[in-house]
Amino acid sequence: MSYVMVQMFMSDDDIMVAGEFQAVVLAAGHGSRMTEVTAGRPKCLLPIANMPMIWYPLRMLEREGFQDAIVIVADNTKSEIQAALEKCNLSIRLDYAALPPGKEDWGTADSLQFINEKIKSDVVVVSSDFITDASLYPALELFRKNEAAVTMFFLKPAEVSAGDSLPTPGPKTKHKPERDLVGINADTSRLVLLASVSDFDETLPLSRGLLRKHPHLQLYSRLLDSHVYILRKWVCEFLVQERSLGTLKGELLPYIVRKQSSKPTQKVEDASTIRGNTKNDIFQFAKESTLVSKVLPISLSNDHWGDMKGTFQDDKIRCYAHIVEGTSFGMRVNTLQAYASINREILQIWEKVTGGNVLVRLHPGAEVKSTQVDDSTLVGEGTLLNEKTSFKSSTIGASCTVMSRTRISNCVIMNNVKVNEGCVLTNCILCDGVEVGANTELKDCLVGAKHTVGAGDKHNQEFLADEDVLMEI
Amino acid sequence: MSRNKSNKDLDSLKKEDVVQAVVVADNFSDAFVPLTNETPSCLLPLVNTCLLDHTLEWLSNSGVQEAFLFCSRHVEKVKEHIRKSKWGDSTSPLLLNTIVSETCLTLGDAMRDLDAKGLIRGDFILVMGDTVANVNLLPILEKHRKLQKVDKGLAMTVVYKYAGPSHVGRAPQDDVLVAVDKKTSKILFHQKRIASNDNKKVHIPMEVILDRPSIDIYNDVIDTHVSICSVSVLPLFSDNFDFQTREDFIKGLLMNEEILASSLAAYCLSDREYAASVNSWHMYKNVTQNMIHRWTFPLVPDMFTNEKEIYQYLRGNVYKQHPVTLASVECFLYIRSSIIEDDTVIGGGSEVGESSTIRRSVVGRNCHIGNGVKIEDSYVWDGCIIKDNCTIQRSVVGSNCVVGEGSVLSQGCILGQGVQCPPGYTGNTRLQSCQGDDDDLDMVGDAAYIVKLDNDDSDSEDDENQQIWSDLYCSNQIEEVDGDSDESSEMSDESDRSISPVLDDTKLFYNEVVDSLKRGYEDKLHCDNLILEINSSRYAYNVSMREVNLLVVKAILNLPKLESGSYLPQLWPLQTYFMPIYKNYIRNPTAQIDCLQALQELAMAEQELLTAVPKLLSVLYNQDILNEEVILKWHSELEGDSEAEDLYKVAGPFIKWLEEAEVESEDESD
Repeated sequence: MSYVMVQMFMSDDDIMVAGEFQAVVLAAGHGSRMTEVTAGRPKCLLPIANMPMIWYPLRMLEREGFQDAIVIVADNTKSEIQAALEKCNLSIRLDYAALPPGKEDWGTADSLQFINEKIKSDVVVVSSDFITDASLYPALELFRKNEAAVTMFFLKPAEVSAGDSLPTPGPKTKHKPERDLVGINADTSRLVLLASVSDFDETLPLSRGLLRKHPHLQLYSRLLDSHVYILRKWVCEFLVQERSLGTLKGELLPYIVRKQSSKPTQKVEDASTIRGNTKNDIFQFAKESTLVSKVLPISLSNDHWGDMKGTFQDDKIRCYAHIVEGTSFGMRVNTLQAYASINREILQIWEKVTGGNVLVRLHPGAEVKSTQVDDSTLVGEGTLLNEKTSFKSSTIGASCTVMSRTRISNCVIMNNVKVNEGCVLTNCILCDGVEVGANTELKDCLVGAKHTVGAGDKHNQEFLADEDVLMEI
Repeated sequence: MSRNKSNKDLDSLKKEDVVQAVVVADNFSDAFVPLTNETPSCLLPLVNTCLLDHTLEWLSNSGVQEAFLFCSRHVEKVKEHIRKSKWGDSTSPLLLNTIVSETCLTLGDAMRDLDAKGLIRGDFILVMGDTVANVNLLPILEKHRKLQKVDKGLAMTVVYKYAGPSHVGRAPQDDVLVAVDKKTSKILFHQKRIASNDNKKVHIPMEVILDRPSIDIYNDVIDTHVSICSVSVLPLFSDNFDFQTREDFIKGLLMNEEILASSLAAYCLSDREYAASVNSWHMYKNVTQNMIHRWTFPLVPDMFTNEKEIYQYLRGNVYKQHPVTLASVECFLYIRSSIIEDDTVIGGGSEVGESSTIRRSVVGRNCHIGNGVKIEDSYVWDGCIIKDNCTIQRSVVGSNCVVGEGSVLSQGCILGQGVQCPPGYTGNTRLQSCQGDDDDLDMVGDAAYIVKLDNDDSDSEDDENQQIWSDLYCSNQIEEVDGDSDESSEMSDESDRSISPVLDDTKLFYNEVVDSLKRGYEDKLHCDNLILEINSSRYAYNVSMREVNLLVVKAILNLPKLESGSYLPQLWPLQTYFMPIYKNYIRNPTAQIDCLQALQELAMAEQELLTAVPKLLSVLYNQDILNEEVILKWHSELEGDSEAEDLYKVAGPFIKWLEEAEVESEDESD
């Protein structure tokens, strides 16, 4: 029985390729929503508990049983990322694909197009900034079971209890997250609607035909899109042709979700039309494997009732969405706010998120002379913490030096930072190569890479950086 | 259950503990005209028991102790009925108070009246007197009270029942789309299909969506017209004089949630629970079927007894009632070599003649059904006499009717009480037994007049009437809404070509055309006005031009059939009269093809018309409506079609003449 089931849901190609899914990690992002801290290093290498951010999704893939992953990086960051990950003891085999420079901004769909030749099976696309303890399995099951084109992976964001959180370092910004409007058939998990809230003014028009097909529809306006997408192989093939679709979330997915309900255009007689000009319809790509197309008509199973339509309402393209239920943690670290917040939370969820990885609190290569380092402080390799210093809930990177009579709490300090004597740092993020002059007080501040904060200064809720960096922002 | 509690016991209970219900006896609509001319709608029989009895039985079974029966029309009859029934008895499990207010025309009026009278003390259950249900109301009431504790403004819990988008129980009037906040059960959006002016799309306010993490949109429920009301409902009706119906109330509350400080909650019945309000023929048919299929258990014919009447439940959902008194008295059930099968109920004392067939129908008590009668999907009420060789399909025959020999009632024909249908009558309209106030009603027989619906009202109401009018007949055709997406371009082409299985809208359009033409001919209206009327109906139903051509011609040719008397003598004056209409619609070769197709379809079905085909063709030809090329082409296409063989032959001589006189006719047409 189970053998038949497995056979049924495997397309012909799968039988030849060992893995059913290929994992693709998108790590070429610049972190355009958090330029203050990404000036010094690629976004995916930002430290979270002294591990590069990308380590978390890779660890997640490892946990879910993936043995290989393709990591898409920008050309100029490839060696840096490779070097950083080699230190991390990952058992997953990584294949780096470097996007050539020249094109200013590679969209997520563009990136996927670029590695098209490496894609041999269905794809799990993961963003390098996604940290979760939820399992991908339910989403993969949904994808398999329904022979889906696309399956998305959503989380219900934790309810923020007011008051407990510290302010995000740096100047106050109006944080206005983009909100997605997600419509899901409550009975079948079919993803029926995917749009941005800002696409609509007063009302949301829903076609009656759609509501007839999906009579019980759940509309979500506050879901967190994990940017984990499970894509059927043909979707990648379609992308190659449809070069105008630059991003997955913004363009490709809404397009496919919309296309579910339309019918293939009538085949034009090949002979009379000029072949070169006609593009293939998406339905040319959306072919079920021979086995599935044989099984479906004779199968008694159906995902809806009350009418005479076939399984899946006879739709050839099907998108599904999985919403993680319960208390799972999930976060995308794509804003400064998120980065600040994950650094505060990571130790509490370390076990769950990493699947039991050993947490190195004080690196053996660090020299800690301080007696006041609390349990929730991490210290990186080659760092020197002098006597008469105190550390609370902070992360200190590699090769840093902290001089005496300095108090640091709730801070993220990256590599090669020097903090001179008599400083008080509270809730700050210090990027690579920062030097803080003596007797300085910083509260809720951001310090850009290689910036030197003058001695004796007092700053509150500011972004401190060299002028050229400020200009860029 | 409170069956054994006497009234005194009830009084000694705390006020909150008494579960009160308000039963509205009238449905405030003329959906069941002419049957409701003399009888209140709640006393119409459904499966041989009147609707009110179904409702009260359910209420008392589900824990209601005190009910207020609100009457506004035919009050004496309702009172009389209550007095005679077990509800009027002192041992009645349900304390029933009758409230009379003859000035009430809407549900809103009734609620305001109740408010003024101040009889209601706490939360109450509001149901229509035509409800058939088996759901236990107490859990719903409890849920309502629980929600009330959280939301002080909760005014009403609306009870919905599951019915998928193409469920047969989805009557057009109750087709509703609801958006609910699942966490709080709060209704956020409620729109009836017929109240929406956009047939393709539903517009849900963004505000509603964005205010909470998620909302649930249900397009698979229908309104049961059962509601649990807080005390605040009555004052709300009093304060807002524009609330006429329950629908107005729901809409008004949702629109002015802040101002009125009131909210609504939704409760969806589980699969095992049943509730439906019989407020249209569509629902009448559907609920009858459900009851026969025992979805309404324990309210099924063989359980719902009043001691003297016991039903025997047989294979294939056939229920036969037996007299409990001695079989030698007049109450007998004779069934000789007749076929009674599939979902049929036959009341006691009825007699069915030889070689008659009854299928999927309900026959009342003491009916006499002659020999060779065929009754299908129909409802024959008590005391009817159906003479030999009648055919009754998808029709309703009111109590004490006499249907003359060889009559054919079909397609939603409705006979009011006591109609005497003349022998050989063929029809599909509503008939009533007396003239009533207007004395310009058409007479069909001694006591049979064609009912006139008010057509003076605005267009929208007209539509509604039409829908109710014909839904006994059309309900099997599920309306297919095209509107899958922006890109979909299916349907339109194919549906133009094969028209024969008429779709809902075109059917309605056709009915309107027939009505217009009939009235036009009787009142000698000018054809230009009729054309205007037809055109406006065309836009109302969005019928394509080709269908218009086809249906108009069909309507003209069918018109003599609706009149009594023979077909042919009436045909010619009609043709002459409506010639301007032909001229207006049949303008080009395509339209001529449509015209001929209509002729062909009807002639193939109607022997009398077939004989008239040559003359018709020649009349139309001489009037320049059809030209010979089209006629010849049409005729040549008929050749070899086995079904159209007769037609081909009949038209032959005319064609021959046409071919011979070609030169001549060309001159004429120039």
